[in-house]
Amino acid sequence: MDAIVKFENVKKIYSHQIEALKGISFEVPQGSVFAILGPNGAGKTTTLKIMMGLIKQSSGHVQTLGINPFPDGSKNASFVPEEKNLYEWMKVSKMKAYFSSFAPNFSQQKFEDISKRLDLTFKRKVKTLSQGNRTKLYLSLALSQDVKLYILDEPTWGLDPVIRSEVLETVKSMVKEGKTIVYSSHILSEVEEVCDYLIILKEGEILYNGNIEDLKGTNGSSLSNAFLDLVKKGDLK
Amino acid sequence: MILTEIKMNIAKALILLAIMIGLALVPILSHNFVTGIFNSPQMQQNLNSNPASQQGLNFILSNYSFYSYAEWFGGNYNILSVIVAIVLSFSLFSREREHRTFYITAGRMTRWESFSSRIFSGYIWTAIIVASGGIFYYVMSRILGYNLSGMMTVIWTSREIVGAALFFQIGAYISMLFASQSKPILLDIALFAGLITAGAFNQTKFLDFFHYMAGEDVLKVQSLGILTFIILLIISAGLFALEYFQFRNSDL
Repeated sequence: MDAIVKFENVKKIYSHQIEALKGISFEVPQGSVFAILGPNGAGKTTTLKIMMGLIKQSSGHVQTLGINPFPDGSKNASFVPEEKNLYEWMKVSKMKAYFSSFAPNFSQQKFEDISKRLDLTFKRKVKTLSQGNRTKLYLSLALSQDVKLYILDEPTWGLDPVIRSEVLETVKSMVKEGKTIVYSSHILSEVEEVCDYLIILKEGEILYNGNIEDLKGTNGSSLSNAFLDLVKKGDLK
Repeated sequence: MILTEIKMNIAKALILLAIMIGLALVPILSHNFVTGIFNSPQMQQNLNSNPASQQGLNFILSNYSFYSYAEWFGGNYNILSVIVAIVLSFSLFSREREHRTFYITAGRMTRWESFSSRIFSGYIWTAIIVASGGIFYYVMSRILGYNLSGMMTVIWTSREIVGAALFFQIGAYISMLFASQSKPILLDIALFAGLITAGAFNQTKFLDFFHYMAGEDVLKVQSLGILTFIILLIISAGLFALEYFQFRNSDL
């Protein structure tokens, strides 16, 4: 399968010499769910931001959908960040109107379907929404774009189990349509349910890069066990 | 996208517009009251000991254009134009950085689209609000029968617009440097005060472009001061380019 995202020996050093990524390389296969896992501070969000062109790598080579994503990103990618911050003073309906005015390939029909599926409230202002409802709104907006790549950072943050399962079903159906999903989450059970390939990061380095089934087969019966095993081994190293 | 940004700032801009128009109305409506005070015997008696002040005052009382300069164009209008520029610029980027709302447009807009839509919509609102202060003052003055020079009004208003646009650009640049809204507004105010103070010294007088905006010289020579006008435009354009370069290459 063709790679939709390529990282080659990518390093990111923030100010004060904080090394967030220490030369990571991986490829995201097209039409798959690719998970990026790791403990806090492992470099997951930095990786996703570099993938979207929000921040620039200090060295190494990055390609997202065939182009260097910095500084403009790709209009064929849709991003849900870790912090689901939207314009507080806007009503949900106005937020949607604003977003759809510039988001490429935004589908009104798709938005209606997804927002209905996620049970989104329309009449309230963003500032009155709970964390879960903000996540629902952000997801509804981002997933309503008809693009090739969706980059989702903690997409089920604050959601109840019913809505969480709806999100996972939506992700699965999108992969069936040929879309590629890059997915980062701390909830390993949901990652296990949807993902095909993954990398496990720790302190800016890749501990594992490959197929989820291979990881489970070699290191334990579940993703959770395999993950803990790898991360603890990383500690010992 | 510029239209969307213009709509995004409509509430703030309408409030500034209302303040500008409301304050422009005050010197027009209080003209008779003010001239009445200065023509009072007590005031005239006090001024007898100071012939220079009396001469200046007589100009203001006898010529409505001079009165307009003293009470509006060279005073509140000048300060308000800078305040408009500060209010429209201080949160332009800092608010987005503070609340991390830049990610809403990430990948959906290029950096140029994101940058230019914010800057140009700010320019448009600044120009509309500042221009309305001059135009409204002129129209209301004429309606109430006062003889205000149209040429002077055009020159003063044009100077205020170009000066406010430069200060907007400076404010936008400062806004980009911080991830909180309080620091840019404080720095804008400090810069405003600093530039006015610089105007008091011969060596740094050229920094006080508010003096050009206020345009006392227009009372003597009805000239736009085209060289200064172009220099202010060039500085604004230079800042715009520098700011975009920095925005394009910065981490969001």
